[in-house]
Amino acid sequence: MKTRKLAILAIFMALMLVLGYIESLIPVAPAFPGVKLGLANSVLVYILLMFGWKEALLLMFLKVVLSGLLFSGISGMLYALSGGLLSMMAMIVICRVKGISEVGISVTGAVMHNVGQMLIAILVGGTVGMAAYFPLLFVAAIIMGVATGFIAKILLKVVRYKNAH
Amino acid sequence: MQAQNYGDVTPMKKADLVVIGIVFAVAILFSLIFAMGGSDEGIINIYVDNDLYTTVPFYEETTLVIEQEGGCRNIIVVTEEGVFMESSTCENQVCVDQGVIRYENRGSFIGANWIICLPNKVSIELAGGK
Repeated sequence: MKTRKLAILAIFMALMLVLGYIESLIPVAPAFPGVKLGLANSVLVYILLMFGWKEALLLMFLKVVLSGLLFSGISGMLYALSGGLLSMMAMIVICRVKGISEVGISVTGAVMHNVGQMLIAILVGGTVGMAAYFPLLFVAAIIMGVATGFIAKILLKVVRYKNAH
Repeated sequence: MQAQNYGDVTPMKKADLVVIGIVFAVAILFSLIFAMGGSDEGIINIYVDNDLYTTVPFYEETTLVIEQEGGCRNIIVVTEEGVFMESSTCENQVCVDQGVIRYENRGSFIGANWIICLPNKVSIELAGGK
């Protein structure tokens, strides 16, 4: 990987870590653990569209690991990895749908992130009753997905790199 | 995606709305699946680590202490109005903060039937049926 690209990706990685930390300070829904703003996702969507899926996947993994080591703890990493991986794969697939824009990709990512986390929670905790939280999580994911999608849109318009692909 | 002129600030495209619509529809589907009418009869299911640990009928006032190896301890109190997690050794205390789940509220909103202590793997369910 060229040094320039490495440095650029590193900057966005740092941005995601900071966003992740800041949003962990804001309690969005105290009753429902795991409901996050998902601001870092807007950066991931940007990377996915500006650079490509390999770069986005890489940054997702790094974000999960670094965020876990720095902030949330190793135990939370399992949920973050499950959510992040499922979300990233879904976003890569949905990219290819003709006519999809940043918002659709972002919503898909947000929803699948919740699904991934829920699946692990059900596997670990053993009670399928948690799936009753899905409706609320999905609606929250739609709202936040649209918001982060617009952020990604603005990023794509404002921060451009030549020869990124 | 490379060919598309991404980054133009226009409102959402049709494909986006389709995605949102699908997610919304699935959400509604799930809420229908998990909504049951509240009734007077029922049992409280208590699960520990995937397995049904014990059941308590509604209204039977009792206190259950669940201790697991590793120091996990949850105290469940059943009253004539509902069930609540009186205390737990877990870090996040979400299960304790949730308060009482009332028999009369069963099925009426999301989260009405369950108290789940994820770290200690203890769950309380208000279940219908005799």
